[in-house]
Parts: sequence; structure tokens; C-alpha cells
Amino acid sequence: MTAPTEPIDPAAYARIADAIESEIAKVIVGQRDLVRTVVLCLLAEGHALLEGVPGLGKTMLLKTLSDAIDVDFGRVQFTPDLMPADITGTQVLEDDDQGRRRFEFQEGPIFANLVLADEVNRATPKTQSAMLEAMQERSVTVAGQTRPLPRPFLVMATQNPLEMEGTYPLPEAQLDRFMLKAQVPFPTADDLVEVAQRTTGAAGAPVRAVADVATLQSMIALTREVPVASHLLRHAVDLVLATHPDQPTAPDAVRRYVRFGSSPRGVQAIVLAAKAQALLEGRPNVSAEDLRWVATSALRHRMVLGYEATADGVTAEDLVAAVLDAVPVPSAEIRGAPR
Amino acid sequence: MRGVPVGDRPTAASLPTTRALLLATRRRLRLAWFVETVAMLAPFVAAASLLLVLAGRRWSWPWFEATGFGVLTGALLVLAVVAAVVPISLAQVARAADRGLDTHDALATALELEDAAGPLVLEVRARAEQAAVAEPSAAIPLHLRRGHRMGAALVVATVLLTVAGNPQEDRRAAAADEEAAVDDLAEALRDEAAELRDDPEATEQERAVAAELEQLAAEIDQLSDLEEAEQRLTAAQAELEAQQQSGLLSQKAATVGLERGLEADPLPGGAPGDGAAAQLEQVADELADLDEAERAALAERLEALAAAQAAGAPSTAAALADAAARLGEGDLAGASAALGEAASAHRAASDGVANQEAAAAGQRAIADARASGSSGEGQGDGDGDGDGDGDGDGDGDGDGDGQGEGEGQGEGEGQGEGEGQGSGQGQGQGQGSGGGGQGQVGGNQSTTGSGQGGQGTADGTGNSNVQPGDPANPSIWDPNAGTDGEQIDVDGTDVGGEQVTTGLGDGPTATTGAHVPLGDALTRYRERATRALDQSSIPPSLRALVRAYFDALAAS
Repeated sequence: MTAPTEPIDPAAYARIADAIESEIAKVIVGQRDLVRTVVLCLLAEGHALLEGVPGLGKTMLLKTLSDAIDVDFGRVQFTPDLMPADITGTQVLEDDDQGRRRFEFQEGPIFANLVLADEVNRATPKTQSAMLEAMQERSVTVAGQTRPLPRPFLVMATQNPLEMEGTYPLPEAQLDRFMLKAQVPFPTADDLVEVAQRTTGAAGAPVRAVADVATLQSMIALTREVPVASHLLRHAVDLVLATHPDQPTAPDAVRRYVRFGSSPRGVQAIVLAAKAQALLEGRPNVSAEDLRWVATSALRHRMVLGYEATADGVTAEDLVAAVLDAVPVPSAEIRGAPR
Repeated sequence: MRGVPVGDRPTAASLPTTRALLLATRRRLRLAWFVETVAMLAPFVAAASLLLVLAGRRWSWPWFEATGFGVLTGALLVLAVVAAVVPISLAQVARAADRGLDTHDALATALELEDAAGPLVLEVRARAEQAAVAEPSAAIPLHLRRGHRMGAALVVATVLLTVAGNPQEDRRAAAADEEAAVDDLAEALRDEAAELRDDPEATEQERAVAAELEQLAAEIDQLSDLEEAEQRLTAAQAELEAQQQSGLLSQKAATVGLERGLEADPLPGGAPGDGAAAQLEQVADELADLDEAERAALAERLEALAAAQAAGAPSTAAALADAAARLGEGDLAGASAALGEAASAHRAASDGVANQEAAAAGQRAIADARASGSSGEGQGDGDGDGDGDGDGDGDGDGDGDGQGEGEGQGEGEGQGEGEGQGSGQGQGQGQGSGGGGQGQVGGNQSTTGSGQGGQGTADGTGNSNVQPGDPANPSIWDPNAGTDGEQIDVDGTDVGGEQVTTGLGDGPTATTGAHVPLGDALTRYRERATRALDQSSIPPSLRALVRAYFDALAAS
């Protein structure tokens, strides 16, 4: 259900977003870019995919995020035997007060503002499709009846790049539904020390909710109001086009290792995430730096790499970096102008 | 960040500070474009300029350095002009300023949203206005690039090489002098041609030669090689010289003498204003009208004229003699035909003389032009080589080759008194050039030996009844008249060296005092003066004065 939103000013937006990040930082040590990526998805109402080896705090991050915002939270642990109805919900036969029996729809865990889809690649494609359809349509159809999902609706999925046996990697079309994909890096030594201190001592300060659904709705609405200059939109397009090996602006690495470039959703993801990033940085307009900052998260899972990339150990991140090098920051295009 | 109430819509699109900054930044951006382009091109342009200057030290073409600096300044000017006119939109300026000021595209976004509305538009404008207080120099910083340093180093090298002096300068100066000499030569030739053409007494042939000389001057004007110009002049002189014959003076004396003789004493039926040929034709037509005595007198006159023409105009003389003979024989028709031939021969001789004189005038004009050009060159050359060739032994062996040219002009006139009047006139003209040897003998002494002399032999015939002091027939003592020349020796100057300069010449060393009619002397002197006037050393104004003098004497 979409509730009418109260306007929020950019300062409050930045303040609340900063509070959310601070609350998460109470639990999650370091990983500032990862946290920022998740928050961007939250404020842009886009779905996030977190990929990392077990034990790096992916689930903990999303759980903490749900604690920092006062919204409905649902969690689904994806397993091979998970059925679509386990996610979307199903019709169950119930007795009413008059003793009559009738089918009642029992909502699945997807009926929440924030859904944690843990190890999403372990479910069967059928279950994945049900989940991803709900992500795209923001509604669920059961027994011929379409039921809208609550707004805001965000899916935060995780997947483990290891233990691939018995998993069902998400196809490209379904990966494209995630606005951003974040790689969860291994913590630094200092961060690990901090993690050890926090997790082996007394319980730390509890995470408090700093935003409710209404506030989140207002923030999401303001995110979409951030203006973007035309040359910056063009820059986002240029970045996406450069991921296509058949484009003249594509760098050599893309021509060699990429089979298919980003879909148009890549442009949408870049621009929308950059808007949130601009507000988080305290600016009312998008800058080229915002676009380029989110480009890696927005494009890394939208490129289909060839076997040459795997053979040469080239990652999607390497290719996005090549794209960023090939597409310079938009300038005046006049000799002598700063670049 | 200063908050702006959401929903507060802008009422007026205005970015005064931002626009002012962008306008100033645009000028700065043009400067930056110029500076960066100079950095990019300076090494190449300066290298090209340096190469040209270096080429100027290798070759003598005088425009190398100027071209080098022209390339340099021209490139700078072109770049400056392009920088001033290269189209730069405010949107471009805003993007550049955003990069330079690190304003995160606030200026470009605000400029684009100047007329837009939205919850964050006022925020964007306010942020842009805050950022726009910066200086344009901060927005567009200028950097000294490696290209600037390289270009500057090359330019300095170019300037130093230019200032350091060029070994080619002497050659260039020589080439310039040579070109100036050619120009002077052409100008002098043009002046001479104009003088010849504008001379009021110039003949048609002389004007034609003047036109040819002007054409030659125009051709020389196009040359830059003095030697080639001299060769052209030499060739022209040779061509003109070829048109002249050795006996020009005698030919002229004969034709002019006939004209003047008949002018002074016309033939029967002729008038003083008629030319000699016309008088001959006239008398040829009127022979039948003459009586015996008149025919006899005419025959005698024609014989005298034939004798006078024998040396210079043999064809005329032959025709006149034939006419006299036939007249004496009473063959009027033959005499008439012979007179006609004489008239034709005289015309041909006169034309030939005019042509030769024109050629001579042209030759003199060329010589004068060369002299004028060479004098100018001499002034430029300074002191020249004073020591000469050294082997001049002072042997002025002036043996006087006796280029004596005797001109005899005899004229017998019948004045209708039945009295022969003859004037014997001998004119000796000899010139011996005793080799102008010049050499250094005993140090700085120089000697010049020359011999000059002449031998004149006049075989004047006739009886002169002119006596000195006769008021009716004024006479004048002519030292050259009726004398036999003698051999003379003209010694050279012995300056004590090993060689002795000796000049030998033949010339009249003794004269018999002879009184000749004043008219004859005047005619002769006038003739000499006329020849003298042909020398280019006499200014034109003085030539006219001399002619006027003799005209006045003749009239009196």
C-alpha cells in the first residue's frame, strides 16, 4: 500500500540517512561502501544483491538495517526445497467465528517492507522466478488474485560465490532486477580486531530505529526529485554503452571479455542511485562523481562475461574500471578546460 | 546544507552571480585554450622558425629570418584570433567551472534549471550562487606545460641566432647591391632612352631606338644578376654597333654637306627650303627649260657636287657625275634620269646616315647608362684596388697609329659671276692612342704615357679669291686649312723607371696661315660642333645652346 508522503527537506534526508548508517555501524564494523550501497538501494527503493563468502556479515548487515528502520521485515532462507508459496503465501482453509470454513490467504514473508532473501541462489529456478517476479511487479498473484506488496518494498538478497554445487545461479535476466550488487569484502585487520572485541565482549549498544515507513517513503520520493543535468544523463548513458563490446566507445577489455553489455536498467540504476548518493553527500543535484561512484555496483552484475574473462581471471569489477577509464568525466570539451 | 522548504517554487529565474562568473570564466577559458594550444604547437612552430633561421645562416636568401619570425608571430596571431572567436557556450563554461571549482556540477545543473521548477531547484540555484563567488582564475587555472618550455627555449635560440649575426649578411648585401646596381642600370638606361626620345631634334630612327632601349631597360629591370644585365647591354651595344659603318662621318659629311650646300645655293628651279633630293628631282624635270649657259653651269655645279660626294656618298657622286657628263653631252633625258638616280641615292644615303646615327646614339646611351651605373657602383665599392695589375710597365708606346681620317669637302660654286669659287678645305683628324699603360714604378709613382696626334691632309683645290679684310666676303684665318700635316713625336713621360713611355703621333705641327671664307669655316665648325654634341657628356641644355649659337651665326 502506498501511503501519502510528507515532504522532507534535503537536510533532514541527509541527517536521517546518516543516522541509519550510524546505527548500522554499531554492528557492522567497517564496510562503509557496502553499507552505503545498501542504504542507496533503500533510499532509491531498489533491490540489492550482496555477494560474499560466508561469515562476512551479509545477513547481519541486512538484519541491522531492518532494526534501524521501523518497517516490516521478512526473512526467507532459500533452500532447494523452498517452494514459491513459501515466499508469496498461500490459501489455507480456516474456520471463521460462525464455524464456517473458507480459504484465507496467508501472506508469505515477501509481504514486508524489507525482505531478506538469504542465499537466494540455493532455491530452485521456479522459486527464484516467483521471488523475482514479485521484486519486479511489486505485487503477488495467488489463486488468480493480485495482491500488491507493501511500499516501500525492498529485497536484500545474498548469495555465496562458493559452494556452487547444488545451487542455481541467478540468470542474467533475474540479476538485472537488482539495482545494485555489492561485493562483501573481507574485513581489514583493524576491522577484524574491532569485530573480535565487539562480538566476544559484553553486548554493545542496541540498534534503534531512526526512521519509519512514512519517513522512508518521503525520502524515497525526494530521491526521485533530485535534478540531473543533461550532460550527466548522457554520461550515464555513455558508461552503459561502453559496456557493450560492439560500441565504438567500448574499451579494449570490454571488447575482449564481455559478451553482452548492460541493459537499459543499468542507466536507470546508475541515475537513481546517484541521486540518493548526492543527497547523502549533502548536495541537491547529481554530479559526475556520484554517477561514477555507483557505476561499479550498478554495472558489475549486468555484464555477461565470456569464457576468456574467466580464463584470464578478469572480473566484472576490472571491466567496469576499464569502462570508467575509457569514459572520462564530462567536461567542457575545450582545450585548456579542467578535466 | 541550508534547507529550502519543499514546495517553495521559484518565482524568477535568476542566477546573477553565476552568470557573471560564467561570462568571466568564458574569457578565461579562451585564454586557457590559447595557452594550451600554444603549448601543443609551440615546439613545432618554434622549431620551424629555428630551422628557417638556421637555413638563413646556410643560404643567402634574405627572407629566411623574416619568414621564421613571420611563422612565429603569424601562428600566435592566428591562435589569438581563433581563441577570440572559438564558440564556447555557457553550458560548456559551466562544466569547465564545475571541474575547476570542484562544485560537483552545481553550476551546470543550476544553469540548466534556471527556468525550471522543482523541490530542489532553489537549493541547486542557491548552491550555485554560493559557488559562483569564486574567481575565474580559480575555475580555469593556467598551467605552464612542457610545450611552453620547449617552445620558449627554441624561440630564445632563434632570437639568439638572429642577433648573433649571420655570415650570409655579406652575401646578402652584395646581392642587394647587385640588384640595386641592376636597377640603377635599368633606370639610367631608361633615362637615356627618354632623353633620346624627348630630344626635339630626334629623328624618327632615334625615337625608334629609344623605344628599343626602353624595352631593354624593362627587361633588365626584371633581372637580378648584374653580369647578365651587362651581357644584355653588351649584346645590345654590339647589335647597334653592327648597324654602323666605318665611314659614317664621311657619309654624314657628304649628305649634310649636299643638303646645306643646296640650301645655301639652290639648284636652278629649287628653293632654299627644298631638300637636296627634291632639288635634284626638280632640276631633272626642268632641264629642258635651261639654256646652254645654265646647263653648262649646272653641269659644272654637278661635277663639283659629285666631287664633294665622292668620299662619303659614292653612289650619289656617281649619279651626279653621270648627270654632269650627260648634261655636258646634251643628253637631257639621260641627265634627267641620272639626276633622279642621284636624288634616290641621296635619300638612301641620308636614311642610312640617320639609321647609323640613331644606332650610334643608342650605343652612346647604353654606354652612358653603363657609365652611370658603374659610377654608382664605384661609389659603393669605395677605394677599390689601388695597386692595379702591377705589370703596367709604363710603356705608353704611343706610336700613333695615325687613324687619320681625311675628310675633304670641296665645294665649287658658281655664283653666276662666271667666276669659280672654290674653297679648299682639308680636315685632318688623327688619333693615336699610345696604350695607356699604367703601372707602379718606384713606389707610388705612376706614369701614364699616351700619344695622341693626328695627321690631316687636305687636298683642297680651287682658287680662293678671298682676301683678308674684304668686308663683302668676310674671311677667317683657319689654322687647319690648306696645311700639310707633319709627323710629330709626342714623348711620353719618363718617370725614372725602367720603362720609358713614348708617344708618337702624327699631327699638324705647322700651319700655313690661310684665310678661308667665314661661311665655309662656320659650316665646318658647325659640323664639328654637331659631332661633339653627340657626346653624352654635354648636357642636353648646352647642346641646344650650341646649336642656337651656330644657327645665330649662320643667320647673321
